[in-house]
Amino acid sequence: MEFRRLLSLALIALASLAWQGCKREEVQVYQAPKDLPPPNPAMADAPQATGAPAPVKAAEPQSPPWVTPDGWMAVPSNGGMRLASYAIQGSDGRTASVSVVPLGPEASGELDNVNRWRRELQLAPITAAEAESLRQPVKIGSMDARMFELVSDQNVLDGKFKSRTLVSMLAVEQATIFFKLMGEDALVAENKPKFIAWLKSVQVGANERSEPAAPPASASGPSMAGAVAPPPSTDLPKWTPPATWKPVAGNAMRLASFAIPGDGGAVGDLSVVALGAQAGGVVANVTRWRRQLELPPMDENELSSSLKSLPTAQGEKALLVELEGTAGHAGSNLLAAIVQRPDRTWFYKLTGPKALVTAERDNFQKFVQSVTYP
Amino acid sequence: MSAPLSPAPVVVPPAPGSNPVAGTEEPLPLWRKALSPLSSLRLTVVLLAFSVLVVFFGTLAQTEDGLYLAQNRYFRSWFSTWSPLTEGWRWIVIPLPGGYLLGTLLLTNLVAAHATRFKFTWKKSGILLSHLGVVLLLVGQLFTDMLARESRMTFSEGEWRNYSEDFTASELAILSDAPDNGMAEVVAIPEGRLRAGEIIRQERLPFTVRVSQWLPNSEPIFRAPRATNGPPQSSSPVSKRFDFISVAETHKMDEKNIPTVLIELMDTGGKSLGSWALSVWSGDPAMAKSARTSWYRRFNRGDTSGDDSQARMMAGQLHAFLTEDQTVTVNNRTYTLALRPRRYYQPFTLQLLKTTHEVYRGTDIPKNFQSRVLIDHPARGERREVNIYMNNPLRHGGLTYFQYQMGRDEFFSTPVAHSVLQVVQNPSWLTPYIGCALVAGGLLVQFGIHLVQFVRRRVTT
Repeated sequence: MEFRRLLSLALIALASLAWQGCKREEVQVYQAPKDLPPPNPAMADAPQATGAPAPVKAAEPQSPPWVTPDGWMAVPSNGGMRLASYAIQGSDGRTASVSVVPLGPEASGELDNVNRWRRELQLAPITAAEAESLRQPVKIGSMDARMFELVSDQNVLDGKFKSRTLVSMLAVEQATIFFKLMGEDALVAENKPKFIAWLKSVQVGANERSEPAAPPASASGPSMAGAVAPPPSTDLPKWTPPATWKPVAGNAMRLASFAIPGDGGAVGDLSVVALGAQAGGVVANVTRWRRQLELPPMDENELSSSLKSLPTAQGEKALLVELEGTAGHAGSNLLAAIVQRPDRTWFYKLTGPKALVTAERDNFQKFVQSVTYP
Repeated sequence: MSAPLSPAPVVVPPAPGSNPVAGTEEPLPLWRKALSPLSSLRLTVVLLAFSVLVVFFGTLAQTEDGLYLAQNRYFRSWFSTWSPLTEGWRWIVIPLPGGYLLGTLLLTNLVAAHATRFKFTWKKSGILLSHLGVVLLLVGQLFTDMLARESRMTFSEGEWRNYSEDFTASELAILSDAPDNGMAEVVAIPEGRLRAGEIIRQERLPFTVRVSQWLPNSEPIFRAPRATNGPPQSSSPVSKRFDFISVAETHKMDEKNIPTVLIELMDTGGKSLGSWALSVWSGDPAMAKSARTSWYRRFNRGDTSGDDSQARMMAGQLHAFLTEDQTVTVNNRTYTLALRPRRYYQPFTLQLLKTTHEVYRGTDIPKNFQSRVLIDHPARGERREVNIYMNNPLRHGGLTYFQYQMGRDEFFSTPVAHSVLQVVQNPSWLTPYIGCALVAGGLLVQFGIHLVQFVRRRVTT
C-alpha cells in the first residue's frame, strides 16, 4: 500500500511537471531598473538612438577635457544645450545625473541660480547673504571656483527619496559653464568626492577654447568644433520626368533609373545617384567619366571652366557636363548634372547614342531643374 | 567411465505476474497485474536499444538541424522521425520514440520491476542502490530539462548588467516609466505568442497588440530613396529607413535567427494607434553593432585612400536609424516597444572591469580568456571583484557564469572590448553527480557482497 501511494505521488509529480512544460507561455509584467547607456568609448560612435546629427568628419571618439570618474556613464546630449551628460546608477534603482551646460553671461547671477536650484528641490528662496554663506570653495582645473550644495526637505524624488544638488560654475569669456550633479540624496553625497575630483581634472584652457557657439556634435564630450550636417534624408526628391521616360528598376547604388527611348530602337539610360556630401568632388567624378569614354584628361581649371551652370527650382545650381565618346566609344554621349547640397551630392547621368542624348538635352535640363529636394 | 557432467539445474524465474504456485496463493492485486507487463526485462532491453538508435539518429541529424533543433526534435519530444540527409532518399521516414517517451518508459519499467519482482534483501542492496542512482539520473534529467536555463550576458568594458539574455528566444518588451520609483515597468510578451493574427491584451496596457506578421529570421534592408520602393512596412520611424525581409531560418551552431515582428496597436475603442516593425536587429544592441560593422566594411570596401571617416559616418548613421526608439504615447504615458532577446533579471549587478585575451605566442590559438567583474549584491552587502576564465566559472546567486566568448568592436579606431558570459541556472545540477555516485557505490557494494560470498565458499570447500 505504501508503495502504491509513493507511486501515485510520483506519477502526479511527473504529470504536473509535464503540464508545466506544455502550458502556454504567459505575458509577464515586472519592474526592472532602466537600461543604462553604453560607457564612454562606445557612446562616441556617431549618433546613437536619438538620430542626432553626426559630425561629418570627426566621427572618431573625442576625449572630453576632463577625467571621467569611474561609474559615470556618458549619455547622449540629444543635441540640446548640454556639452556632456553622465548617468550614475545606484545599486537599487537610485539614479543621479551629471550635466555640463554653457549659458550666456547673463546667466551668471549667483542668487538667481541658487534660488532656481532651490525651486527644483521645492525649497523656499533665500537672500543673497544666505546664498553667499552656502558657497563652498572648489577648484575647476587650476581656477578657484565656488560650489553650492542643496538638499531637499521633502522626498521629492518619486515621493520616496530626498534630492541633492551639487553645482559649480565657471565664467569664461562669453559664457558661464555650469557643472551640476543632481539626484538621489545619498547617491549624490557618495559621489561628491568624485565630483570635486572631476572638477579639478577639467582642463580649463580646453573649455575656454571650445567656446559654446554651437550645440555639441556628439555625446562624447564638448566637441563644439567641426562642421555639423543633418543626417542624409532618405526621402525621395520630387520630380516630374517627361512622359516618354520609363522608370525602370535600377541597382543598389541608384535611387532611380529611367529608360529613354530614341529613334530606331535606341535606348538611353538615365541614372540618379546620391552620395555623401563630399562624394569625391566634381573634378574627380568628371575626370572618371572622361576616362570611361577614353577622353584625354583635363587639368582642373580647364575642366571647371568647361562646366555649365544651371539654376534649379530651389535656387541652387546644377553643374552640367556633356562628353562625347571617342575611339571605342564613338557615337556614345554622356550628359550629366551634379547638384551639391549640404547633406548629399546628387548625380544625374544620361548615357546613350549621340543623337538621342542631343535630342533629350532639353528634357534632361528641365528634369534636373524641376527636382525639389526633401 | 565417469558419467558426463550434467549441467546444474536451471531455475527458471516465474514469469512476471504469474503465480508461482498456482492455486495455493491469493490472486495478485489489480495494480500488480497492471504493472506486470511494464516490469519486463525484455522491455528494458528494447528501450535501451531504442535509446541507442535515438542517440545515433539524433546525432546524425545535428549536421543539418544544429544542436538545439536536434535536441528538441529527438530528445525533448515524445515521438520523432528521421529521414536520410541525401537528396533522393528523403522519402524514407523512420519513426522513432522521443527522449521523453523513452525516459518515462525506462523509469516506469524500473519502478514497476521493483514493485512487482524485487524483494529487498541485504544481498541485493547494491542493485537497489544502483537502481536508485539510475532513477535519480532519469528524474534529475527531467528536472534539468524542465528547470534549467542557459542564457548569456554580453557587456563591454565598463558596462553593468543585472540581467542575462536567452540564446535563442526573444520577447516583445513594452516599457514605460513605473509610476513611483524611477524604474521601468516591463510587459514582456514571449515570442511563442507572437504569431500572425494573435491578439494580446494585458491589463497594464491601455492598448491591444495585434500581431500582423512574424518573421522567424530576417534581414534589414536600407530603403535607399528609390522610385521602385514599395510602401513602408509600418508607420513607425524605422520603416522609413528599413525594410525587414524574411530569410530562411538557420540551424547552424555559429549562426542565429534574428526575428522581426510586425504589430498594430489598437486603443480600447478598437481604433488603430499605428503599426510598428520591431526587430531584434534593433532591439539587441549586439546585433545592431554587428550590422554597423558590416555596413562599415561594405562602405569602406575598395577604398584605398586610408580615410574611412565617410564609411564610419554612414555606418554610424544607419546604426542610429536602426536603433531609434520606437514609442507610442497613450493617455500621456509613453511606451517604448522593442523586440529583444528574452531577459532574465537578477537581484545583483555585474560590471565588466577588464578583459584579458591571450593567445599562444605566434598563433591565434587562445590561451586565456578572462573577464574581471565586480559583483554588487546590495541585499547581501556583497561587493567584490572576481576573475572568470576557462574552467573557473563564477557561482553566485544560484547561477554559474562561464567565460563564453570575447571580442572587440572594430568599428572604433580604439576598439571596445566586450565579453560574453554563459549563465547557467540549474537547480538540479547535483543530481547527475549523486546519481552516478549511487550507481558506482551500488555496483561496488554488489560486487563486494559477491566477492565475500565467493571467498567464503572457497574457504569452506
